[in-house]
Amino acid sequence: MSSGTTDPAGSAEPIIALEALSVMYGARKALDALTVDVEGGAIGLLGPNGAGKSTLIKTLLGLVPLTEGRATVLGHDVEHIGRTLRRRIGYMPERDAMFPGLTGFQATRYAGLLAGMPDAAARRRAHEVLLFAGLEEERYRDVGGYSTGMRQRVKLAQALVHDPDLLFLDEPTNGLDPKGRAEMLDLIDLLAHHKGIHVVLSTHLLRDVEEVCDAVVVLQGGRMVRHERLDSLARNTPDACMVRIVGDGARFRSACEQRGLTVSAEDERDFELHLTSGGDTGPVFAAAQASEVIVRELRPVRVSLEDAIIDVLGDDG
Amino acid sequence: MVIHDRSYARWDGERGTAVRAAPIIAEAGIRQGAAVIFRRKIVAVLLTLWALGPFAAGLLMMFVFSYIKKNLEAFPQFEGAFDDPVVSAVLTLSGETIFFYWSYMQVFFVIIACLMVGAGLIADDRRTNALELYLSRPVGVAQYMLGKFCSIAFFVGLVTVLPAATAVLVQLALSWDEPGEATRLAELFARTLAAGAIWVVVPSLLILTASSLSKKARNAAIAWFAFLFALEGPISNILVEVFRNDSFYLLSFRHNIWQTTAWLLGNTDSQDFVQGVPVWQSAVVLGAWVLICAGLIRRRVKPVEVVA
Repeated sequence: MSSGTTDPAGSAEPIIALEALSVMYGARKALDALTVDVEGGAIGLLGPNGAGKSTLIKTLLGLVPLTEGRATVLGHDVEHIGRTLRRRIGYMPERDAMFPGLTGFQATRYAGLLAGMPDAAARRRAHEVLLFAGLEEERYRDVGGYSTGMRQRVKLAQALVHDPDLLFLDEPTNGLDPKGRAEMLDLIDLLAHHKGIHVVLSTHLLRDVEEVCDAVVVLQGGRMVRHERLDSLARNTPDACMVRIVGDGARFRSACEQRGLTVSAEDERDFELHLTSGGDTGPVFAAAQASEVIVRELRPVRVSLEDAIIDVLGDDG
Repeated sequence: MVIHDRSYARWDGERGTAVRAAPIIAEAGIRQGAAVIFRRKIVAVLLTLWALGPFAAGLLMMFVFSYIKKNLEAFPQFEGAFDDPVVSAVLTLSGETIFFYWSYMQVFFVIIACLMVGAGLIADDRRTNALELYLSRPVGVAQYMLGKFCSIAFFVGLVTVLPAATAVLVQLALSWDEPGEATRLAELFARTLAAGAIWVVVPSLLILTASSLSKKARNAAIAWFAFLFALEGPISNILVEVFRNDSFYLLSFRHNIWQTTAWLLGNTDSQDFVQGVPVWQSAVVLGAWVLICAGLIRRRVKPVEVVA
């Protein structure tokens, strides 16, 4: 484990293990000495644009050669047996990608055949996964005429047709309307938590990860800045509370700051305060007493993944 | 509420065997090529009749003449008819006949097949980002290239090698009771396959290269045609005329294909064979082009296009 990271709970065999993995694009370092053991379940791969998320997935698929270090996926070294390994991996690319001139059914069947399935099994599975992905009516239409949402679904079906053990999803909710996004996340959640398929979800949308994933790997500028379970990530973020007062707001603010509380937002009578040591609210009441204001309401503020990640990434993120 | 079927069943099929992707890709390419050709059905049917009609007619004549020749007592009116050179040519297939058939009759259909089918084979995959889908599965670049090559080679072979080899085989079967003729035809069959391989491999690889260099089938077709046309006419012929040196014919694909196939088919006495240019030179030039084309395609077929 690289410094500054927390190992997710559990002692299961890691599905992805990286040892000082570096990838260069010409003179530019796209991935810089990544070291991490990722355990199963639903993993969010987070980071701003250009952080190296897609490069990491492509490296793990053997599509991009690694420059230094070592990477194993499902216990296999990606450098040596990449193609054999791909029979157990599904990949949904970020870009709009399709087999030209084929219907949804033909394209999904073809993807199954290319993954080594017998024709009869590929046909049957193509129908099954297209129904699963919600393309029952449209499966006999040319993929070229599909809407963005339907293309995302057919890409998911193609990634699933050979029933992979590990599924890489690169920005799966891109271009989807809110309903389509919710349905896509439902499908991913079902696969990861009820069907035993490990999912690596690469996205820059924090809410997608928050809704589906158990743990996150956060990349920035090709480096890993955090690997942690979601619940502990939120827990490790400083606690905050919202306070509504009656009285002199300026005096209250001053009293809070004297006691080491940070005022992160202020709106006349409402103050959002970052608490010190373990979420202790004692200093808040002490500040209220000292500034002679009445505390009408005090409630904890839920620290969202977004806040936590922004905190991890800092201003550059 | 989610309205679609949410069932998902795991698949417990065999995953340990190696994936032979080339035949799968080739079959898909052939289906796609047939779909492109038969998009306009009447034109496709006319083209097919035009491409294979003379072969079918020749085959029929071969059967009829052979039957009559063997039963001349029943057809006294045909006495002496087999001395006619046309009839004789039908009944005694030679390297010259096959060379003429390919070089003057079928070359048009080779061009049509390359333009209609070959131009889009890789260009369409690049346009739709399908390479990422192919190569993220257990498919190697070599298997992908082989599959695409077989797709176009099927159509080129369909209008060149298949009819010629079939005609030789049929005549071999009809001449089975004449040992000398049967031996000659067996040798001709082997020569036909070897020469046919050149007719299939060179144009197919050239159009695949053009296809890999573009993301649009139309651009690939134009580039392929313009390249060949430039080398055939303005460049090689003008240089030969200006410098009075036949070696400049080596720039021409048609010349190199004709030289090598004429030699393989034993047709070196014909006027199409340039005596001043050794066959090995044409063979080396074609071999070099094959390597260059394969190398170019290999460089273009990649799952990730990096802009460093």
